[in-house]
Amino acid sequence: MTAALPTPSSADWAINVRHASKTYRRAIHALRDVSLQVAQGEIFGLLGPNGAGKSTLVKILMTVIRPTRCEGELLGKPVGDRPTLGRIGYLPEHLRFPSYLSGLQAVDYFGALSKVDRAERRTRSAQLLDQVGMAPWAKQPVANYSKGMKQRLGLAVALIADPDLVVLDEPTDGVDPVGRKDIRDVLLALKARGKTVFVNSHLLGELEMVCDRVAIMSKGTVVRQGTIGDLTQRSRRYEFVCGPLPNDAALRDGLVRLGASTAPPSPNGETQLEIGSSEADAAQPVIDLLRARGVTLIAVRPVRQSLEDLFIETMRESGDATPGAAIGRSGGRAHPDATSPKKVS
Amino acid sequence: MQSAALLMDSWRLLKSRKLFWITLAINFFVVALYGSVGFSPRGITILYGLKEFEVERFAFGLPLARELYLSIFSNFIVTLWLGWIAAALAIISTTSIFPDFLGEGAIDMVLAKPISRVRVFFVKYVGSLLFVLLQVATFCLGAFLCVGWRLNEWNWGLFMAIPLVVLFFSYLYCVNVLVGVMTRSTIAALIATAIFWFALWATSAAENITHQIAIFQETEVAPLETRAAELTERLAELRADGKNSENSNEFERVRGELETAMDQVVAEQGDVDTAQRWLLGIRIFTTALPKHEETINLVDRWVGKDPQRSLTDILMGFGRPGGRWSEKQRADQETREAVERRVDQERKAEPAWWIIGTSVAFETIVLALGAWSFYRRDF
Repeated sequence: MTAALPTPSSADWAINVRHASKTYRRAIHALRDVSLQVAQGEIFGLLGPNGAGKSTLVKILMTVIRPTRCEGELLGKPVGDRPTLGRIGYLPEHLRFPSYLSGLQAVDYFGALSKVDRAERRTRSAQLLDQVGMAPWAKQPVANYSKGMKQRLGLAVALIADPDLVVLDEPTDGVDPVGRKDIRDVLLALKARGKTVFVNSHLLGELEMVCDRVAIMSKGTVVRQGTIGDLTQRSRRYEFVCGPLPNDAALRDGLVRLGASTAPPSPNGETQLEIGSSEADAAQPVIDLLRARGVTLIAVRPVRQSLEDLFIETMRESGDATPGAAIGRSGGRAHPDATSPKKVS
Repeated sequence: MQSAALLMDSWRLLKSRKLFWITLAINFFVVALYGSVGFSPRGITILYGLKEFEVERFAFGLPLARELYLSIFSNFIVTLWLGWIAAALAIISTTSIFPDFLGEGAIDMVLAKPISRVRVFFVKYVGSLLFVLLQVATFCLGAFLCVGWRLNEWNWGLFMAIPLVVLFFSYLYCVNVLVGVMTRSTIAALIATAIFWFALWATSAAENITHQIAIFQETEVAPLETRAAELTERLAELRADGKNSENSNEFERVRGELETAMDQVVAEQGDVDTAQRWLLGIRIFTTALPKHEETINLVDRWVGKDPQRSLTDILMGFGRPGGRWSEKQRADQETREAVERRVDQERKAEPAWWIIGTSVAFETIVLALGAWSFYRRDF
């Protein structure tokens, strides 16, 4: 199921992980032989239900967890190479700042731990806090911050060292819609500057809006990986909304011949049809047939599966569609054509 | 830069703790009390001269007045305030530092930085000791000024209390940190430290009591040996005088007394040997433990006073109990005091390098275990 990966040379991978595994107490397999590549300059999304191993993988990359096995490189250096961590910005899940620090002090403190010199810290702290919309509260104690404010601050902290790779674990968790938009803008700005962004999130709509490629994890393994376009390609189709269909055998036979499936009429009398092709040319004979038989066409639109639907389908296929696999739906659907089609017969 | 940032973070943490400021305020109060004691040409004054006690031996400028003032510092304030109360407040205040630091979402941010875990652990540990360091330094500076004012003497030896009290605190805190790292629980760390502190106190008390028993047994056996020697000599004299016939009552009586005395010597010597064996066993055990009392008592040696003269000795002027005591009670009391004094002298004769060296060895092992646990664990 894994989609073909882009093929830059190994030096161009920002993240190139092979055989990452983590087993607790020789019995609990949190991660099973995961291999993952993220190209430099792209925004990469990691999806998966709770317990899929996403955070474990992120923590292994950031040396917070020791892997049972892990080969590969981050920014061309072996995973775990300490100096390389200075080139990586990290926003952990369930972020917790020392409550006695102000926002400005927190950015400065973690900047110093990243070996950013004092003058640069001073300049960049103010810039970043302004960029994430926290400048007015920069001197307030973190203890007074809301969860969303802490996430914004966390993003500023992650960026203080002007990292080449930014790893964000649930960056929009607890952030309001305006804040989420701000964070998306920051990520896109990073991409525009050639930085690599690795985002781990439940919020599929968020990821769909910014990610170049995604990987879906389930039960400690990567089950799908590729661009959103590639992964949803097979679900692309044309959808037709029209008035009631006459009881016409020739019409019915023609639709079957053209590969169109029909859903039962809705209460307002509208009928929905779809064909399994995203090509406009393939839709024309259906339009011609419907028009020829006097059917009123209300709408014709191309649709493709949303990331959310892809995700749920993947979870079902992998047998992981459990309550624990619940996902966030915040953010809505990203693309105008990325609607969730109604089931058609 | 990274270590400085961690230390600065520790300082900010301390500043945010109310208990730090409360302890500091009590520190100033204790220094103010210390400074309120002074000396006049006629004796001691308290409450900044509000009340005067005419005690000639403590008149201003006399050596005993100096001994008294320095003893109040080393035997009372350092031992009781810094060695117990302030240390307990410091433990309570600093126990949560490591468990909080290791909490999910907090430690991740630090471990993902280009700094080694071992360095993070030790710098954080040193930073946590800042609580005690700042408290003791403030206190010693105050005491230094008091001594300069009251004795007209700038006693730099007082500042030796700073490393010694910090060292004493670190013996307890290393255990606190080890448990904190292993369990990530503030309560567990606090309970473990309290138990460890009690265990140290209990083993020290057990050693002290066993030592006293051993010396008391020695003092018991000494007069018996003297008596046996006298009887042996008397028996030899009787033999020399030709009075050693079986029918000589005197000879028989002396020989009987000698046998009894020898039996008593053997019995008492057995008790001495038993006490010595117990003492040796306890000492072997305590060798591996930090010497918390002895470390604090080193202040007494290094402030430039007679370490063998305790605060009680100075206040009592080595006086004996009053006339209501019987001769027997008086003798028992003298024996008890002699035993205690000898135990005290022997303990104070232990070299500083031994006291500090064995304690630091213990601390090093505990910290190594803590660092290893911190280095290996997943967060």
